[in-house]
Amino acid sequence: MCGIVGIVGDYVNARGDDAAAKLQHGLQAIARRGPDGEGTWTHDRVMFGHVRLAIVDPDPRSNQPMESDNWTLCYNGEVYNFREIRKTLEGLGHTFVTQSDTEVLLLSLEQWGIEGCLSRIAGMFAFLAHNKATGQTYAARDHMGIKPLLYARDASGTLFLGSSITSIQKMCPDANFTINKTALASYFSLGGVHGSHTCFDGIERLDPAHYMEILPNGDLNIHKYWEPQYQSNFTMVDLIAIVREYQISDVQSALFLSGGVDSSFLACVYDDLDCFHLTSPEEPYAQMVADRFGRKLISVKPDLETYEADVEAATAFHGEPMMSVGIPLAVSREVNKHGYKMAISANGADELFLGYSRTPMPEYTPDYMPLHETPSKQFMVEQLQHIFRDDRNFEMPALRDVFPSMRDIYTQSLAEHRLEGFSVSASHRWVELMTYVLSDLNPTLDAASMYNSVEVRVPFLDHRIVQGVLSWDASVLVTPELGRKAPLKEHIAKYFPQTLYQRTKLGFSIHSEKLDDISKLSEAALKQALKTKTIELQGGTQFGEYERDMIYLGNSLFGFSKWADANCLNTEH
Amino acid sequence: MNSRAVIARLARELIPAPTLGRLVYVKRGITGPRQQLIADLARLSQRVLSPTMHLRVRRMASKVLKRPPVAQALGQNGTQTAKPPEVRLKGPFYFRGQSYESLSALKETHGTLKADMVITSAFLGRHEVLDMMVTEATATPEGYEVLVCLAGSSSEDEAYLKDVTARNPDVLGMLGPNSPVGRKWQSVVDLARASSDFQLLGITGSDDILPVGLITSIIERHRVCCSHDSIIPFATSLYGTMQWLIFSNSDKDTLSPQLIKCSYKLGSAIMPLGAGRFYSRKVMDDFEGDIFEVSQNRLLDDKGFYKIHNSGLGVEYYGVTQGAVLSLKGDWSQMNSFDAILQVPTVKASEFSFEGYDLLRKQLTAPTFERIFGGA
Repeated sequence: MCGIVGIVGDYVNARGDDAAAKLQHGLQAIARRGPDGEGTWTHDRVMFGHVRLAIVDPDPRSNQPMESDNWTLCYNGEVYNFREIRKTLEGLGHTFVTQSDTEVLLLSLEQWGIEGCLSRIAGMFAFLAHNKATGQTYAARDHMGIKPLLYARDASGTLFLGSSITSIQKMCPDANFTINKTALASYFSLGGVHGSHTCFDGIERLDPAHYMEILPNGDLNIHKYWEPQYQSNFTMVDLIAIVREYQISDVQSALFLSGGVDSSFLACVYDDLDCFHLTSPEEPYAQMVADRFGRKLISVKPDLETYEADVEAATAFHGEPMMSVGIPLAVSREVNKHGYKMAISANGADELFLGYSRTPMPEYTPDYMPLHETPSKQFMVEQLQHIFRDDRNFEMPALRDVFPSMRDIYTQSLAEHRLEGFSVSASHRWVELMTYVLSDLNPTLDAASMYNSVEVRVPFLDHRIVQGVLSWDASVLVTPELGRKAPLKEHIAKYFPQTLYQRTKLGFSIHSEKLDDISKLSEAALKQALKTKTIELQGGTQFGEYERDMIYLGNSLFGFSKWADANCLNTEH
Repeated sequence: MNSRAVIARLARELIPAPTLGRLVYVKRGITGPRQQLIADLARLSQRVLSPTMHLRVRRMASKVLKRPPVAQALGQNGTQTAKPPEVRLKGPFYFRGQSYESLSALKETHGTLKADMVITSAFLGRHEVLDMMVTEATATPEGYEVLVCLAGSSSEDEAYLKDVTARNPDVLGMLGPNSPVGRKWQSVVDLARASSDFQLLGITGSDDILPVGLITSIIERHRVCCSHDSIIPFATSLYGTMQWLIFSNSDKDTLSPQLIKCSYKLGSAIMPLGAGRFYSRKVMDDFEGDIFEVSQNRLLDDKGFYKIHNSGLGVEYYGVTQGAVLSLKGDWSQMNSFDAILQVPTVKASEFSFEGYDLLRKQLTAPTFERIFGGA
């Protein structure tokens, strides 16, 4: 896991020293993403910069940018099926000098070109690659949008690319990136900036499962390289095999173990990872799991003393406001403090396995379920009202014309998130993955972990697992006997009594005296916004999840205020 | 399926019916002395049924013949020849950008209008939705001719009628009082019959849209049905649906925006939806177009259905996949709000967002689809 920056354009040729200085500024902005090494590379009109967090093959021989005969690669992330691809490449006559996934990715480009490479690799990544033979440069982002990739073009046509908005800003000190109100409105609507626009006009985000082709004349073409394909034969055996791939690491690694179904399942799959638990009422369950496999359980109380300052610093590092980065930030810091460089999280399982009752499953109604389970919401609008804020409950005068209405969100979801050939519930699950997970969960996790130089892996968001589980009907995922996430529970049942996995889902709950104070920060932000009429409540009918909307608005406002502070913005307007 | 098989299938379906009115209607094209009719029925049944069933048919036919003649119950006998309705419709009538004080003046200029289907609607406001309905009805491919007959009431409606008839050569409009609304509906049906020569008469509410896909599919089905007239001298009298879609985009509805599929629960409703009914020309002639309760403001369309039901005439049902009646709920006044419909005990409402979106994209014209879903 690393950080990348790049500059592409005639400017690199014409004013190489200036460009190199700018690249350095960009690298400084992402230094926390990669404390183990730094490298730059220049060829003709292309310049790449890389900071390395060494997880696989930490030897400096695996540093980047890495070159082959025709290609140069600058890459952030992990490719988890690299050993299998390596075997194929070796069979084709390629020889390797490192044990890294980077070299496999590089020689995949050499062997198959950009599309052939992207069709074979699985994992989380964002990379820049240059083909010296054709003069073309490429930028690609992973299937599920786990790793970020931003870009901007200045007046001269020079293209700047980087792992964070801040890195782009640092490389373009003269550019006047004004606030993008549409993107900002999407942040207040979802809790994360949603879509390819960022909070700054002129800085764009490459969509997940897309790659950019930069032609020698400077023209850009953006292509989609993947969307879920129905898998008729995907089984739990396949899923477990993929999950196991995520364990590969040459550094001290841990598993986030809450004691809930998803993380307990992962604990059943992994052989020897230490378990990391945030002190919570679920600790006895986490202990039960760790004990069963003879693992070390580290239970920590996150240090939230400097919560406000931490959120502001992480926001400045990331470049966009985040609604709920505070706790993940404190957790990642604890992971780092305990000497772990890599941790595995069960993020995405709830959304994928119909773990939330908010996700409709129109094609299926179980006859009965365990009593602790909640029936699924019937209608899509109820799902969306849970993910997004319903604009009929309030108004933000400064964003009046651009705030996404429920109608916009609904019709956009219908147009963009329908999965052909899958069950209807799969489309509803895809909505979760392409909204909340993509635009809130993923960037928050990336910012919080990378700020603390920790790599967090999310096996349930592997695209092979995503399309495989999406191919399972609701009746497979929710059964009368086991309730939600039935396939995971079925596996856990081989090791544990029902007490572990058949209980009311607690959600996020940690022990900290500071939690009340943190809640008050959000409440105060909402109160202040109401007082200054930044937000006006509509009164009358309360639509959807009104109470939840108010809590989330408070959280978003707090995150926004820290972002505004970091960018020295006047938030009055 | 050959003609013998068709007869066999229809006879099987007809004979267990609660009344034999339907069967008698079959024979109305060859009405004659009682003995002749019995003989005809017997011949029909002999050709397709077992000896036991043949005997049953003879007995049942005898019973039926003791009843008053169906023609007396239905009025006009079922010939294909249209007889202009004896109704007094007041002008002005709006057609192709012109206003006509009387129907005779309109017919003098344009003659009797010809269409495979006339779609009728009585409206008050909601012009945006009505416009989508017109867009759909007038977008049928060549060979599927559709005329739209509209009845409005207000001065805004009049302005809209002038505009829409100027824009669309296949729209005919009139004005009339909005209450009782049953009278208004009957008037627009009368206008359709008096002005046009058609095979099917469609009914749609002014906040309902009949997608072009539905319209062409019903015309097609009716053509197939009529093509068997030489063997079985009747066609389906009514096409209707027990299943429809609702898209709510009203800010007043708590569960909005939302696309749902509704269906009447089996056993709790016997009538098809009021919108999306298509009456055959023949039955309209038999009923002399009298299908609405003219003195009422509610339950107007029960009459048309019950007349068919009680006469044992043929009703064909279609589902949303064959053609979806789309009811739009917006911020206009409406008889039944979206929230209220979700509470109706006889209606089953299901989540249908993704499937309905795909379905409507296929069945609606692109402009209507974009107007409803914002061109997403």
